[in-house]
Amino acid sequence: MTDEPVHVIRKLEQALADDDFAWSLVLTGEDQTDKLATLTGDLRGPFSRTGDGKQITSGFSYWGIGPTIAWANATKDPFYLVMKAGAESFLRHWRRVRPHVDRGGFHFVSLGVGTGVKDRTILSDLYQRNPNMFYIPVDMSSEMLRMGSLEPVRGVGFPTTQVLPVQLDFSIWDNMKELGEMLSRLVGDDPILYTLTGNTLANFESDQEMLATITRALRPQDRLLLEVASTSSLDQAAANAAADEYHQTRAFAEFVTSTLRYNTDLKIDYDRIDFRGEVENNDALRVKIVWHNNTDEPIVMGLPDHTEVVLDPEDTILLYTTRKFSTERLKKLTAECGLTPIEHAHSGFRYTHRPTPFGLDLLLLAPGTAAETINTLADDIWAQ
Amino acid sequence: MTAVSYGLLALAFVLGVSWFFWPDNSRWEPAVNSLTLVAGLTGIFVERLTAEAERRTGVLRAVADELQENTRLLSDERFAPRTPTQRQVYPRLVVSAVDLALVSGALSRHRDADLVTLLHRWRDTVHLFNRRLDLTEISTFSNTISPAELAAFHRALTRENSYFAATREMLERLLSRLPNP
Repeated sequence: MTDEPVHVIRKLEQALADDDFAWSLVLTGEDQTDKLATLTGDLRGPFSRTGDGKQITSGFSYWGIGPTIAWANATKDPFYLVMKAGAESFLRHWRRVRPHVDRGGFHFVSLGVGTGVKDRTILSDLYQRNPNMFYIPVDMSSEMLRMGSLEPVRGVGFPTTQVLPVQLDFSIWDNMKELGEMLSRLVGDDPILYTLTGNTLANFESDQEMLATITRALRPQDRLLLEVASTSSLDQAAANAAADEYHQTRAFAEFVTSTLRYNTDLKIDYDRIDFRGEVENNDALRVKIVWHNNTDEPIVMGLPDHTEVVLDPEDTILLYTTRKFSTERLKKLTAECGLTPIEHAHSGFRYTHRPTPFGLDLLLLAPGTAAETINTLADDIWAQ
Repeated sequence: MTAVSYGLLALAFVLGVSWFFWPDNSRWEPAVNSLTLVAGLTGIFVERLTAEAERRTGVLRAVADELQENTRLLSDERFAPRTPTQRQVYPRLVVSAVDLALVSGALSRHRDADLVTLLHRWRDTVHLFNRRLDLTEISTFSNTISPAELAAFHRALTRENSYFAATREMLERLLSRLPNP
């Protein structure tokens, strides 16, 4: 009789048991050389004065150990008031949302793990209700994954055997589709709580496309927790004020330039970083953070593939995009993506003496229209 | 009432024996006859009361057994939240003992008034519950149903505020209020 070969993952569980070394298991879903090629391609875009040519798309801002450390430093900067206010308001908002996911036996998939502080709050509550749950942080950056998933796991005492970090660019539909299918096989019919917190949705070129991509992967029993920055004012003054929020902190400027610093040979001069606020489609404020060649001479930038790009005077590189959404925009986004709000918590920023139009919103969303989710045939039959 | 009845009969027997040994006394006969008649009359009532009590005990025992059986049915794995979602025929709750209890007249109109009301409600609940199972099966066994809709049915049935949960709650209440047979 011959012994059956034992699968490596089953062996690994035994091998890592009681091992004090800081191992972390990551499921990688993409070839990282493709990502470098994408970044290089994006930096070869056409000339643009408005940040619409060369760009660093969302996700690449956190890609690699340099940008990850820069991000961690920015979040700890006491002058980065938006981040501080966000962490405080999240606890209040989560308390309102929590009753809707308390008893469902949810698994937790965190899209864009961030610092892991918000994940810790969510994980702590979900784990109490469902000790068999899985925690699956998803991020394009393996460094962010390792840093961001440590905080919730250690903070809550969550078993590492129930954590599966996934390195994946979830803004690509094929990746999201594969992730959704893999998770379905992993958890069966159990519901999953997906989260996209920290105003991550605002960082994508098309917020609507990003939200639609996530929505398509949701099953009827799943829920999406979405945190976005909001505004009640939509004029140029508000747009300028939104840009100023990010301008206040040196650590944030270091973070947005870190991808250029670590992937090109461009010498970073902070005088060339512009924070440009604009009103987008009359229903949101958009802040573009761009590197701007404000000299009279062309500047040559070396790329990771050893080619060079000439940055002419007035040319720009879009480093980071963020937004503040109006209520109308949020309604439009959720309606177009076929999402139904189950709970909506809002609070305004409180750190300024003068009233500010800015705030943060936390939405718990269900896939499908209200008619489909609230009044399905099954629900009607089994209603009391 | 039973003690009085047996006491009167015993006394009549003693007087009858005395009458046998001392037949001269003419008052023995009416005394023995009267006592026997009174004992016979009370005996009729005693028999009726005993029969009623036995019938009530039997009915309550049958209802209790049926409720226990329904508890077992509601704990069936086909109703469990983690059961894989698939088309299935669900077990039905039974109310035959409850029906019998209500039509038999074994339950007292005054003493069991609250219990009778509860049993009527339980009977309605079971009929509505079974009807919902019929509708669920008709819907889930149709050709056009998708896996998502199938999952929605199982979720709707097992969620915390569903009619299933209300039925289970009512059954537990009824079991706690049922008098010991």
